[in-house]
Amino acid sequence: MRHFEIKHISGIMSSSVQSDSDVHISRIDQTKINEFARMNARLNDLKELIKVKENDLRNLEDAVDEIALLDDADPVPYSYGEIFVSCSLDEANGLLEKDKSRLTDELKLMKSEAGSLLETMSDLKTHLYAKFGDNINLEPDPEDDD
Amino acid sequence: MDPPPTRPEDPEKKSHAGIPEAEFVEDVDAYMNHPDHDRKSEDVLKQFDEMHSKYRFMELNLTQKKRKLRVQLPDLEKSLELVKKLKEESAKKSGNGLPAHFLISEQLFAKATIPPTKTVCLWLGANVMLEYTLEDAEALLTQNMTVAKKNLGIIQHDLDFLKDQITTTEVNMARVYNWDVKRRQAAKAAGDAIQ
Repeated sequence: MRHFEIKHISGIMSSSVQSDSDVHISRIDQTKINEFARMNARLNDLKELIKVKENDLRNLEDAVDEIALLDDADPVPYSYGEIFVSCSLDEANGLLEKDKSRLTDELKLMKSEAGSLLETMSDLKTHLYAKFGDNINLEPDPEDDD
Repeated sequence: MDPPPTRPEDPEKKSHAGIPEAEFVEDVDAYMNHPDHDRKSEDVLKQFDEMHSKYRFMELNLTQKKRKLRVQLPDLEKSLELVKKLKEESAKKSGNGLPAHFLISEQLFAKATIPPTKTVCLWLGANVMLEYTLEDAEALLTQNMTVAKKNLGIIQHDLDFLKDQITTTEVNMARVYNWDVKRRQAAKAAGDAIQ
């Protein structure tokens, strides 16, 4: 017997429902499934954003290391969008530190949001698996997982 | 950091763009036996599939808008920072100007000094550039940023709403399909029994 399987094309997760209509799906279940799918989308979105911010932070840290090797007297060209403004070493250091702490704060917020998402998702998972068993698949596709 | 999703002001409306809500099928059997559907699972599936494609199309559109805004925001932020920097510089009494390197073309920079200035030109798009005082420029850029953040929140809300409709439709499709498989099996079993 062939069962219809649905894949979330946009998400990493394939939440295929092979419901064997013996298990009745109530509106509450549907809401939970929706919630899970929505949270999963948000989580993937967040993961991407976190990756970008972490990269930015690494670049800033490299800049801090490099600047330490420079001569005090030389002005430093500091990047503002498309142009570089000459700054003194102290100014540049201050700007870097400011950017760094802002990024660190943003990352902290994002990671805590991702953490609480994961928590709620695992609760939902427990509930949905308990009800639907093998008829529902809430795991990420292994080939998409990194 | 992303702004939180913004709910529409009108509580009756569940999405800003007026996206229709997907119908949740509580009882597949009753749904299929409804005179409108007449137990024709192919037609019902086709309808769901059509809705699904429409939702997907809207999702694609909104995702593109979201991506554009996410690029726009840092640009605005950078412009705002520079305007603030110019303000600081022109406030200095001894200001000799701001030495800077300018991008002339990709990979090529030239040195120039920005003399103390009270005005700055903002690119408004559509080949229009206007001169603003530093204060006005700062106010405009700040306002643009607020609007962009608000729009991002609205788009995120609609995307969340869309995701729900897509998931609901997918579940509906799976259930109707399985209902059909079961019905066919039952019909086949009945046929076998007669023989």
